[in-house]
Amino acid sequence: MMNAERFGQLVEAYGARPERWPADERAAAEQWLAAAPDAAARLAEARALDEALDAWTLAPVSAVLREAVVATAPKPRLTRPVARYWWAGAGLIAACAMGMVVGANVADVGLTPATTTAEATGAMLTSSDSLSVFGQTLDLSKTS
Amino acid sequence: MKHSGADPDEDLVIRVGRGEPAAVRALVARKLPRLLALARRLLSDQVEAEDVAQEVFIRTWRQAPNWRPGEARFDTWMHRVALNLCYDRLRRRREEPTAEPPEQVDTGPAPDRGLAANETGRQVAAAMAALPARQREAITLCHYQELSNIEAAALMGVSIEALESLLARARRALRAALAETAAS
Repeated sequence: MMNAERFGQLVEAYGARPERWPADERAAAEQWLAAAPDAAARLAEARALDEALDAWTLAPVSAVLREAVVATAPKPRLTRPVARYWWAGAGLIAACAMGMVVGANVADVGLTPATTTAEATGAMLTSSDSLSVFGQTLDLSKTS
Repeated sequence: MKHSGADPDEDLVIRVGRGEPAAVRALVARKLPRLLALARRLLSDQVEAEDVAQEVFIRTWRQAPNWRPGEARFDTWMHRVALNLCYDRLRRRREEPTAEPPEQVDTGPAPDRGLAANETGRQVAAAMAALPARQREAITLCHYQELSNIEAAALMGVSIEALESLLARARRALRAALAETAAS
């Protein structure tokens, strides 16, 4: 319940600006201010002190200090960029393996592991004389 | 000024905890002026205030990866760390009275402000420095840092009634000191 005594205590402690008054009492105090004829006079003295306090300004933060503080932060660890590109390395390995398959005798059934690798890279054995790579058919009879 | 509900620094602190350099810079830009001002006004010494501010951030980098949103505002946590560091330095001054006194209070250059405002600022700075430490702390937290009465009382470890008593006494003392200065 707002009354003259409590209004005075708020102004004595927090000053003249309603935004500085306790949130749960602000509305009641503003209503009291609007209704009480002598309340405005109590605010004038508090307002003068508020303005004097505001006159004490400080120099802005120097760039030297700012950079010194930033420099105290730990450096980020490089994990995500390596993890993101792991598949590039696997693709390179697969491409090399495919090159080995193309150079081999395609009629040799012992190429099953390489065939598996070739499948993984888009190559497919279609006959003993040709190799299909990503939809393109290579005539292997002309390579030897 | 008076906060309620969600922590406005939450997302930034999470990103700092992940080690994002841009988030580090953003947090420094956002909080360093505020924390430096707190330490300056409590310690009346630029060098000590800068040391305190740097130490707050060093502890912030350690805390950010472990920060649990919802428990408290991160700004409140940083203020608590800064206050504790200031208390340590003030206690050290009392225990080492022969140590070199802090530098003269400096209001900072304000070339775009009138001479009268600068002089008032210097008078206020001197009057604040002369206050008992707890009164100076109460005024700094409530008027300059614009913390709510609840936040300020919690940081100081006092009741709201005790905080208001400190604030009222501090304001009366400041008013008297400024009036005396004006009269002389």
